[in-house]
Amino acid sequence: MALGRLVLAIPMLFVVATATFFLQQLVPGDPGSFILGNEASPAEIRQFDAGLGLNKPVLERYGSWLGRAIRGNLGMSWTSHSPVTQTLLAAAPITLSLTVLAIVVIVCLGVPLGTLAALHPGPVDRFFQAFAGFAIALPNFWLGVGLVLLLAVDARLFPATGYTSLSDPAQWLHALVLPVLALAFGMTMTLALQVRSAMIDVLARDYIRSLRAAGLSWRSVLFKHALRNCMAPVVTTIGFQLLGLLAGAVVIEQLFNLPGLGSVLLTGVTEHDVPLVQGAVLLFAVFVVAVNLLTDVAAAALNPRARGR
Amino acid sequence: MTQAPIALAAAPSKPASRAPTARAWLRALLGSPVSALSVLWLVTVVVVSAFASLLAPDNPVQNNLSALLQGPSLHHLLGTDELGRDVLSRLMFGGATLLWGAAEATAVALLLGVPAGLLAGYSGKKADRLLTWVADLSFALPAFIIVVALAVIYPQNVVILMGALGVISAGGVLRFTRNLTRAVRDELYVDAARVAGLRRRQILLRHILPVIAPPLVVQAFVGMSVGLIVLASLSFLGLGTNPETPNWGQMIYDASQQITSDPWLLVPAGAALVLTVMALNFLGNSVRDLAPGTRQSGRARQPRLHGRAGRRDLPQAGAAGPAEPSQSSLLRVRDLVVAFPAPGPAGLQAVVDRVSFDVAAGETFGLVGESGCGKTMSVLAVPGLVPAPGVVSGGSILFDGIELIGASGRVLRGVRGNRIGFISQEPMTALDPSFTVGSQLREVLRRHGRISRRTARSRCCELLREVGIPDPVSTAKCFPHQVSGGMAQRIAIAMALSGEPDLLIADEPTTALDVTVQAEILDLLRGLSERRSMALLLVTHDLGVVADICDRVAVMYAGQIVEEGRAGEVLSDPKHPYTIGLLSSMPGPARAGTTLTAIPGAVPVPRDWPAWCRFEPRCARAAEECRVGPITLSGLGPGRLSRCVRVAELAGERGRAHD
Repeated sequence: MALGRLVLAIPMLFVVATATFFLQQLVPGDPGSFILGNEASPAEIRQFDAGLGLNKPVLERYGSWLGRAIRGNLGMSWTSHSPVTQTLLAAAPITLSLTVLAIVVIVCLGVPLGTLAALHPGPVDRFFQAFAGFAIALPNFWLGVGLVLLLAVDARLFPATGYTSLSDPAQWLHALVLPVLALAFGMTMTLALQVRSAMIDVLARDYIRSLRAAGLSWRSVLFKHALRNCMAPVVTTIGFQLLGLLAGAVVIEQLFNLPGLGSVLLTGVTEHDVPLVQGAVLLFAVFVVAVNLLTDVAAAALNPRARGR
Repeated sequence: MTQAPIALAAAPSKPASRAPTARAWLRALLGSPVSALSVLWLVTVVVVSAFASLLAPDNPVQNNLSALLQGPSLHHLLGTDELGRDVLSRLMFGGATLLWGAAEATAVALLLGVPAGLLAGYSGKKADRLLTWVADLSFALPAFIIVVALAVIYPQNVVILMGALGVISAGGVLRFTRNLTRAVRDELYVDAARVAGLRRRQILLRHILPVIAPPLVVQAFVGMSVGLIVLASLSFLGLGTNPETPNWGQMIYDASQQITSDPWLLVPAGAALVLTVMALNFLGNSVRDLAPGTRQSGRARQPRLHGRAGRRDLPQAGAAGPAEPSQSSLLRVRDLVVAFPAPGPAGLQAVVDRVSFDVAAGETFGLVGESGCGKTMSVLAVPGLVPAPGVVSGGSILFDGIELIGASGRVLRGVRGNRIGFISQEPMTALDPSFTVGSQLREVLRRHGRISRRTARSRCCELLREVGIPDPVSTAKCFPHQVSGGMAQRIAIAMALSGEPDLLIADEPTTALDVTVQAEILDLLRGLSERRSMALLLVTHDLGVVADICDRVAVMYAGQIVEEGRAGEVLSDPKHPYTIGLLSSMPGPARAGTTLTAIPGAVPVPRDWPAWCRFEPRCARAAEECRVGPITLSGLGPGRLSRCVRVAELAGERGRAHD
């Protein structure tokens, strides 16, 4: 299964790469006039375009671009004139910090909450479901603004914006508390709902009854056997959520002024810096492929039926 | 395919449960107050957005520098923003862009995904493989990122951005539709339609599309809610906005710039967005419950108890009878009542109604009856494992002098496995699929004995050998899915034996197995019970099993014991018409030339149990006296009981029948 994914991953990256390259062709007008503005003379624009190699045939440019991209060279930014790869590598740790912390929060809160709801049918479960319905509908940017208002502006507990590198772990964590909360809140409840239904399903299985009938303690049945059997669907959900977190990071980075990949993408978009956008999209695609692969490997490892084959 | 001609003969029709009627749809949409409120809210949003220019009190883009950042007032119901514009008017105008954008993305996704999914699911392999591949590909794309990136070329072009979102999402719809179609395609009625010569297009449109429509509607609701969030996020980022047509996402961004001076501005747009998304999600969920093949987790095990209001109340008085007085009984069950929640004043419906029986040490006791008569619930009550929401609502279960009803978890855990073992009907589901056979057995062994890992390993092999597994070492390394049904049942028995119990409860231990394996498992149980002088409480619907291994037997019908006695006596000289019926429906003793009789009808569901003899509606020998009131279980001799008022007449009849 994982191998199948790897086979799929390569054409997928190729498709994304191709699409991002031809994105440039769709830019109305030529990049020179786009970047240099109306004041530039036609000669200046032609020179600018030639500098980018834009006077060569499309397919030739595509070939050399793809060749360089495979080797990690994503070209130069049109606006800052620095290598795109370098900009992306500088931004990646911030996005990774954000998403990894968020997924840790989601799993650490979502699994116990879902289990709790599954074990308490009735009012507790109904309240849980209603709350989850609300939490999932709450847009992360609205929650982010609300958190800034309450905990940064009013209570002054956390900084409203900015990022500190991991070299100062306490400051790093402190700066990321609000963004991570805004990002993780809704998805925590999505995961909790998934855990809840998986848990209800598993707890009604015969083997739970036979293990209890054999005298195992409830705790061991619940935490070892039931939880273990819930994990396969839950891991798949976590995979989807990691992808959702990448999208959420674009919005949250903007809101909290964090210079991550999402900010790079947005800068590229607002400044019409096509190489920057291409690079960011490609890097996001690589993350997506990696997450999908990891999810499949984990799901396969959790399922003894798949492992045997 | 082979079944098609049969289905043809009986005009192909869709099972009623599969295609919900319009009324069922309406009930799902308006049934609960919350879903009715959701519909109301969505209708309001749509109507207000459509007629905003008529309904809005003010011009949404008209600045008014003399009324900046005012709170709610009579003049401006929701206040004004940083340019003095009326927030209520902006809110009323702000839904339309979002709704159109979300609807566009959803429509594109459905229009591309559904036909392709139908094709992939219905046609042959090639199209399926290609389309599934395309779907998987699009599934692996970072949709939101791509939409954001497209904004570099089409800044603030909502139509293109949301169209792109729809195209990328079509892959998910394709896969979803394909799986649904796959499931329906092999249904009997679709086969029948195919054999009847309907064209593919007709089959797809008339027989498949209506069935898969409800889940697709859910998908549409989900798509709408995702589309709203995506477009609001884009607007918040400044990519989907247009100053001339405000939308809620943009309003939240504007508000975020004013949070120090006027936090109130966050509320109206945020609430409108959250409520709309909540309503869409909620309706999606309530429609999903209508979809065919929906698993309603947690409810599956609940017996069918709902229906007309509790016409029948809890156990009827005077129904209990004397059981064999036994000094030496290991297990003594008296007046056991197991009930499930039911509508009606009582709130509970008994499924096991004042059942009493005894099992002596070392004895094999059978509990016999058709499915649904309450025998499994009766024995599950013994180790305290009646599944929720069922409850043991009365009676007493004395095991070796310990009262188990109402006992603490500690007491029950002490008894389970150690003193009372349990094996269930389906061996393949009775073992945890995620752990090896050996790891489960060792865990249970260590729980009972407080022994070292090493001892556990050797005890595990001993046990497996004892239940007749030829190669214990390699079997212990297997996962449950790697062993056969008969093997799995042996392993389940080994697990139940691990604590060396005095009583083994076996709930239809052979029902799910092949005939040849059945005999082996019965032999194993008999041998174990003799060797370990272990009592066996055997639940079965098979009188052959009773004849084979039981010392004594109780026959259950509709939650009650109707006959009890030594196995030989009950089988050769039954004292209840139900037992007679069960015996004559066995193929074994039937003689050539006589028709195989079956008892007409089926076991009634608990709410339909008559207030008099519960077997009367199905009984060939019923008379006026049978309908007077509840029948008591009366003694006919030592240890011999029957719940029939016409026992005397039966004896003569039965005698004649044997001539």
